[in-house]
Amino acid sequence: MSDFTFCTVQYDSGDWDSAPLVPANLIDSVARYTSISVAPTGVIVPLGSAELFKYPLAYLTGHLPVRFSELERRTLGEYCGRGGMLFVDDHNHDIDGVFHKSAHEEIARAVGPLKELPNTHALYSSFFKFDDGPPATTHELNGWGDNLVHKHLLAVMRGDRISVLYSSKDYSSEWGYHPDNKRFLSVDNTKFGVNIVVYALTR
Amino acid sequence: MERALRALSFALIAFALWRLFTAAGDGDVVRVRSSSLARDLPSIESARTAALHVEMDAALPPAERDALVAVAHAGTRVTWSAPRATLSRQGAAMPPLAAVAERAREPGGPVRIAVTSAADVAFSDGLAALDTVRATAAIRGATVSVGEPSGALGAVSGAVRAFIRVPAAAALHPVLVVGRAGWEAKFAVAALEERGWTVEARLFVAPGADVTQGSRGAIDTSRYAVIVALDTTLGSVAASVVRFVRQGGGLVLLAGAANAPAVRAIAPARAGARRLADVRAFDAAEPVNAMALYPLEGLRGDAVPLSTRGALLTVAARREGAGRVLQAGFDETWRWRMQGGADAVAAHRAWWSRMVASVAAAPLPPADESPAAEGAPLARLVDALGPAVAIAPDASGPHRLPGWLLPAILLCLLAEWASRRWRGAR
Amino acid sequence: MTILERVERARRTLRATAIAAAALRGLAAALGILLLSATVDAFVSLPAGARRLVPFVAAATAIALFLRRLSRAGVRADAGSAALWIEARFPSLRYALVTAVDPRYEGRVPEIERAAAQVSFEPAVRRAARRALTGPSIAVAACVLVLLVLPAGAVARVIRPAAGDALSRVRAGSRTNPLASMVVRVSPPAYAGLRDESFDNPASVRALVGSAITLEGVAGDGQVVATLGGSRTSASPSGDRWRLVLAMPSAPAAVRLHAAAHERLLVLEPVPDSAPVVVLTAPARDSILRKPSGRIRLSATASDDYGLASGAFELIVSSGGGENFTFKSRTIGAATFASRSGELAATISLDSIGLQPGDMLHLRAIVRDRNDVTGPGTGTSDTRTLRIARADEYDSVAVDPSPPPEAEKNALSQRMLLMMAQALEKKRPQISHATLVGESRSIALDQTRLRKRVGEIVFTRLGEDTGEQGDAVQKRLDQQMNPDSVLAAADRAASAAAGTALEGDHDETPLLALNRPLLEAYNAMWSASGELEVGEPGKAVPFMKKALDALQAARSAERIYLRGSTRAVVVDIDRVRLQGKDKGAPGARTPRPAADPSRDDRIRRFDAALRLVRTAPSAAVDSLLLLRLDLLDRDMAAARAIETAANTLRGGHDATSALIRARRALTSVPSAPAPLTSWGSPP
Repeated sequence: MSDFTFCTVQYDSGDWDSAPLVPANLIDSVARYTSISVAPTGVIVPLGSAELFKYPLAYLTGHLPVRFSELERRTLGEYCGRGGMLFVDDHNHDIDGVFHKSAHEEIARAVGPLKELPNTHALYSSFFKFDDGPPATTHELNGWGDNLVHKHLLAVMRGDRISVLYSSKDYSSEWGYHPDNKRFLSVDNTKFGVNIVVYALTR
Repeated sequence: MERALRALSFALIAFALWRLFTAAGDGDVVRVRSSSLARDLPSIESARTAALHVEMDAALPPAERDALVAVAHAGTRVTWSAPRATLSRQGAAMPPLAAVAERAREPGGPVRIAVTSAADVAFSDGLAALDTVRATAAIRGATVSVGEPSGALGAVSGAVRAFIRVPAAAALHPVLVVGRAGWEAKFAVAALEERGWTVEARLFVAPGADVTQGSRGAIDTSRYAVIVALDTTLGSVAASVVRFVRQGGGLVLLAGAANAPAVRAIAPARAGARRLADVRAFDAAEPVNAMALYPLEGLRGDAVPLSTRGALLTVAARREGAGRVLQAGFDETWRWRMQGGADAVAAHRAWWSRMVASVAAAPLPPADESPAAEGAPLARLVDALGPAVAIAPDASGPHRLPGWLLPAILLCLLAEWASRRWRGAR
Repeated sequence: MTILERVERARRTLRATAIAAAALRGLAAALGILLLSATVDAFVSLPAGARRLVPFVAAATAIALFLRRLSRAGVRADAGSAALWIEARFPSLRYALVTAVDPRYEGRVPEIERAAAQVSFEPAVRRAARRALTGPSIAVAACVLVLLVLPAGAVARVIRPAAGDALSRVRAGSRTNPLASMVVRVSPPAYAGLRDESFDNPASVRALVGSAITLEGVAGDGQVVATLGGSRTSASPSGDRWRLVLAMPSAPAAVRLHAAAHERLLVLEPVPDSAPVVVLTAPARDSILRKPSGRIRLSATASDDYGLASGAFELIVSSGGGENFTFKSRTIGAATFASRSGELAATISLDSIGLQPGDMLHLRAIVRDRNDVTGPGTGTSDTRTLRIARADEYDSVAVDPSPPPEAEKNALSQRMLLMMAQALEKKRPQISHATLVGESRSIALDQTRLRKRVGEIVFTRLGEDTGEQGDAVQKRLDQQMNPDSVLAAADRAASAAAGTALEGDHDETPLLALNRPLLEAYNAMWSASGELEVGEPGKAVPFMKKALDALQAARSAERIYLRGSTRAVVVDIDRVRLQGKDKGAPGARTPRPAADPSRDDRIRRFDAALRLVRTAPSAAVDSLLLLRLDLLDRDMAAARAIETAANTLRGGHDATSALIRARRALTSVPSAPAPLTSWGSPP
């Protein structure tokens, strides 16, 4: 049995599958840097399904407006209440766009309001050290898009634990490549993903 | 006839007065009730009564019982009897009552009282009533869990009152959880911490990279109460775990952890091949049925099997030196918390806490020599004064009138009056 | 006046007297009941419900008594009865009067009539009337007098009981406790449309957030000051009363009232205003449309607990694909409401929105309520998504919900070519050789075109886009190289070590990456074209299948955004395990707090309240109410149990069992449902 299976959340309203290579890439990274028993492929689970509770860490992304149905809202609320963690990444590298606004609204209704996560949070030292907080993505630094660097991630906290982690930094684009292509990169840009997984598994 | 009836009434009244004012002579038994014993004891002691009979109409405090023993030793023959009135539903006015309390070795855990009695038992503490246990013909004992009592904890059954000693809460050392980083580690540690345990952890993530919580000091019973091994990854703990258990520490082996070389020698059994659960849903009554299992095989002779699933042994325990080892073959217990019913989170916490508490090393509480504590008062009474005696129907004493006397007087007077009225006279 | 007339007059007098006496007795009984109730209420405050019954009971008693007395006086209905009544008082008449008034003997016995006429019975009738009326009149007068003497408001409380009239029992005075009796009036916010309510001496008040809570009492010893949260408010005098106005907060809170040495607690429990519930009824489900034209009907229903204000449909149009999307949003069908439920309806013209193939239209209804205190609550419906299909999706059996990228289009076309070749091979026996070759060459032509498109993206060079390279390859292919030499060059490139830059010829920049799966597809297509050119579709089919498989593999290897199910990439865990160059250094884990850290404190507070039950029951009630406040958000079962115990104590009843239940609810520890045997302990 694997200790960890990467789960992508399928929701009704948007392009939930806009980053199909992120799961494989992060699975590859977790296997490269840790001894965590990880399943070689990810799974796709509908947000309103009871299957979601089998995967205490889930990944959600997209470009389009996020609108949860009542069942999805209830399931997500229960999932986070029991200790599950949802990682949401805005696949648009813009600010205050439709995905951003709608996801904020839906997460606030289902779980709670998103607040800025301090860059000293344990997430940034859960495996690799990121002294400056969330690492910037190439989309933030390449001059196109919004030309802004999002300095913080956002989170819904349950006590002192992250229940929903929200990113506007477009890690979905950053990590959306075949893992075999890592060899072309001088710096592995998926290490922060390892931090997210290790944080979820140990905190 | 009227004169005769009148004369008879006067004679009976005179007899009653003579009985009332006749002083007790040597050889007469002094009869008292236990409810007024505290008031009568000084006069009894000073009068050097030859015989004393106590009717137990109320619970006898230990101090008064001891006073009666002293009176008996001074030469007075002391007997006692249960009250005539039936004070309990089962008809036993003084049912044998024995109660003992133990405190669950977990933070904020309940006080469990084991009680046996032939009648209903009401528990109370210094503030108010706590609970009542109804005795039935089939079950004459029960275990009751109550919160932290405020003041003295007592149990009353009929005319018997027990004062139950509650051990002081032990200062529990932290729990050390070791294993691979994963969902089981995350949720096991979370369950214990949320339940109030102090937890230290060593979770193996990569070679040379562990997620730790707490210090990495020596593994001994002065620092830890229990080690929980989630799998065969014991890391640096492996070298010390056997010594730790033999010195009195507790060890919980989950899933296949019993197959780790370091603990094979002290585990109750070896962990067999992993099996999936027979059912998919976590039933509130038997949630463990939905967990995957490493069945326990080759149970050691000195191990105690505690739980089974069909023909498979699921939980067993054994003592090793001064410590205890509990082996539970369940795997992925975290699914219970995530996929169980509405109460699954709290139940999962309680289950983990109970597992750890069952083997936790805790210093023995100091012995309570307080005379107020008495869990089996009837037994102590019999031991001190002998068994109850039946009251002789014709036994009389200086202060007791025959029961027939007053009705006889009334009857005579009534007959005399009726005769006059019948006659037409006033 | 004849004897008959005299008797008739006497009869009328007696009848009127009987009616009046019965009425007076009934009135006396009713006044007596009112008097008794008012007196009892003056000492022991009767519940409002009981006081409401008093007037009805008094009236019913009066009517019953009146009718009963009247029925007993019915014997005096006729002249004969009246004559008998007179005869009973004047025996000397010897029934002369009865005979005289008997119609059978009228005018036939004048001597009897003369004898009867000599008796003056009118004074007796008058005396009897006075006697009959005197007693009831005195009783009525006495009741009225006592009622007038009762304290002001006492009678009103039983005649017209109303919530909030508790203060009418209390007299103002410098030494009275101004907090002993208090009336609370709740005025909900105007938007809720609810009536004001009054409560006598409540321990807690439930009302809508933002309601005005008016506390009123009778002035007495000291000024009344209320402390709510951290703020203090002094009561203002109002005649012989004091008055204080607070606003219902959004979270449960306790108001502490002080006046000299007196204290009182009032718990405020806010009732939140729920957001409207909105259901989008049309369109009923998500859809894919072929053409962005036509009209679509939108409808939604909404309901709210206190009232709706406005609503509209929100439209968001998403255009684009891959990484590039643009969004436009607008609202339509705005409506206002004046009730607790309503409907929204609108129609949208897809032509007017300017949708293009591939666009997505997201629809939902948004409704706001009338809450102008905590801000309008907003309710939203589920979202429906309408997508406009792209033209090249029409030949697919299942239209994917997003535009297919390049490789996907290639795969579809290759699949179509394969099907065409298989169909041609199948009907080969039925057609002539010339027809077979003609159709086969037609397929070959399409295959070649597809192969050229694939060739454009087989190679990726640094600094060039694939289009230019694709042309260069094709140009070389056409001018210099035959198929075999191209294949050989491709084979050389394919067999080169991974990661090694493939040097180009002359001025060609180095290859950055070689798309090996597409190269394989390219080769297979070439072979297939060859077979098709010579009219052998059957022999081309294996090559076409191989090309199709290779395209599928290329789609997985590329960074291509696909919709629908994707082919999962399986990571070779064993190959990559711990191959990372960097080592992690995890930080220390911090402990989680206990799930309920304040539980022990709550138990201690409950025990402290228990100790006060005998010595200071009102203080115990206050302590329990404050404890209940803390439990409202955490443990409703325990909060309810404590509320029951507090109310029982306030009513002066034995609260033992209620307190036991409350204590059990507060101290219960969740037990493991699958109990482990207490090994070494009694089971």
